[in-house]
Parts: sequence; structure tokens; C-alpha cells
Amino acid sequence: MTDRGFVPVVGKTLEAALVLLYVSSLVTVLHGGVLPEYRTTAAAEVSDRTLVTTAERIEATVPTPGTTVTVTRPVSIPDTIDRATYRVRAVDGTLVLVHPESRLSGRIPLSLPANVTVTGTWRSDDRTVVRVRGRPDRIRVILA
Amino acid sequence: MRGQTNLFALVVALLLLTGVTVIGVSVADAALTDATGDPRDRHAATAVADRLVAADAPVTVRANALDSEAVDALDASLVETLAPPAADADFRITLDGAPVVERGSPDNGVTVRRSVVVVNRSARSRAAVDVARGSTVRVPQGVGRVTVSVDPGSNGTITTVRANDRVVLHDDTGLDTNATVHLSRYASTSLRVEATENATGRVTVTYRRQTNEPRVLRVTVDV
Repeated sequence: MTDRGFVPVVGKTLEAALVLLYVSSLVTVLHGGVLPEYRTTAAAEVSDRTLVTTAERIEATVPTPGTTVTVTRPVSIPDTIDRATYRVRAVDGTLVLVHPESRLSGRIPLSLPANVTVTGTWRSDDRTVVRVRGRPDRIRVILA
Repeated sequence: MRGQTNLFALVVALLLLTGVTVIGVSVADAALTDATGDPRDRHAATAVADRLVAADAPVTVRANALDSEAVDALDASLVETLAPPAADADFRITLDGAPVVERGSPDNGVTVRRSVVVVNRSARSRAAVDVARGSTVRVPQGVGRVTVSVDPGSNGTITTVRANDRVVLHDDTGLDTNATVHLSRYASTSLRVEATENATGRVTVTYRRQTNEPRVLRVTVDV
């Protein structure tokens, strides 16, 4: 009749094992597949939006052609995307975001009037300002 | 037996927990899917609309005023040149619902609206005064500029041309010219010719009437 005494012990052990198994499988599934994927997707979205917002800010900084103007305007961008710093460059009228993770890099064409050139590079953890040097014949936009 | 009841309750609880987790993950998934792809469409649509209504655009006469002839000549490649973000994108441009340019089917894209004025310049109108018979020409409202060409006949001289009593052309020894005269576009103007007695010349007035119609420019772009 000693078996009867074992029943609760076995039952509790079984329950504990089941809960442990469940929790560990859940952690494995979430951290192994779902979470990193979400993090990357969200980071890609942040990178996309950073690029678009920055492009819009730069386009909005450009004055109407034919004006002589010098402007320095700060543009705020996220310090890091997916816990890594990145750079934003302007190449041939295109804004390029260079991230260590290639999936998070991207490029977007800038929409600018004729005679406007954009040059320069930003580091995300550094000061990010747009400098505009406008002369009647052409306008230079510098990311610094 | 009591231990197994507990086990049963535990399994139900774990199943419920699994259900909640799955629901949570799918909600998060839907939120991410919803958020994708939108900002680039918006950027491209804004870029196209802004470049089209800019003062230096080839389809405008000034900022936010489109030239109707240039709008008729607008095509997809010109839009691409104006706004590089729209390259390789599907887009549709309409004025009060009437399609202007369409490429592909941008139904899933983002629409941006701008209030514009469409400037429509009619063909040249011409009015002539035979100085021997009459002396005034009426220029309708909305004309800001007329070309006045004075052909003095053989008799007498034409000395002055007035627009609503304002002297616009004058020469004591006689006018023989082809001049552009600026008028107010907000009211009709009468051009009056003054000449010496028995003059026989001819004054011809040429102008383009201009109408401004407010329209809503809609740009839909799907990158």
C-alpha cells in the first residue's frame, strides 16, 4: 500500500516537467524564429522610414532656384537601427542608407529641381545637419 | 485520481496560453504587414505632385498654375524626368477626375491632392479700328496684354492710344508702330484712338484671352 503515497509526488513531478517543457518550447519558438524575424522586419521598416523622412526633409530644405541663400538646418535621425549605427550618403541625386546588415540598407531617389546637387555623408551617431549654399545659378546641398 | 484532475486543468491552461500567444503573434504580424511599403508611395506621390506644381516646372506658368496646353502634352517619361522617385512606378495623374497621365494600375498606391489653377489661353483674337469711322475697341476682362499695331494711312496722323483714359502710346508727329500694351486683367478695357481730323489709318489690336479654372490635381503612385 505504499504506492498510494507516491501518486501525488508523481503527479506533481509530471506537472512540473510538463510546464518546463512547455515554457522551454515556447521560448525556443519565439526566440528562435519569430522574434528575430520581427526585429529585422521592424528594423527594415524603421530604416525605410528613416530614409523617406530624411529625403523629404532634404527636399523641403531646398529653396526656390534663383535665390542666394545659406542655410544650416538640423535633421534628426535614429542613432541606431537594430542596435547598429549606420551612414546616410547622397550619391548622384540618390539618398543611400548604408547599414552593416545588408537587408537594412536601402536607397531612394531624391526629387529636386534642376541645378541642385546633393553631396555628403552623415553618421547616425554624429551631428546631422543639412547645409544649403544657394547661388542664382545653382544650389549645393551638403549633408554634414 | 486527484493528481490526474490537476494534470487535466494544467493541460487546459497551457492550451489557453498557447492560443493567446498565437493570437498575439498574428496580431503583431498583421500590424507589421499593414505598415509595410507605405512611406515610399507617399514620398513618390508627394514628389510628383510638388514637382508638377512648382514654379519652375515645364507645365506651369507660375507656382500652382498649370498651363492647359502643357498639361495636354504631359506624358509618363516627362513625369519620370521631373520626379525620379516615380521611375518604374505605376502612377495616375488626374485633374478633377479627368485622367491626364496613367501608367499601370496604381490602385494600391497613395494619393496626394493639390489645389491648382488651370490657365487656358484661347486662340488669338483680333479687333481692328478703322480710324476714319470709329475710334474705340473693347478688350474683354481677363486680358493682361495686347499687341497694338498702328498703321497710319495716307491722310493725317494718329497721335495717341488710350486705355481707359490712360495714355499708353503717344507721338505728336504720328504713331507708326507695333507695341505691346499692358492692361488690367480684372476689368474690361476700352482702347481709344485719337487722330487728327480726316485721318484714315487703321489700328489693329491682337490679344489672347486667358481663363483660370480652379481644379484639384490628384496624384496616385504605387512604387
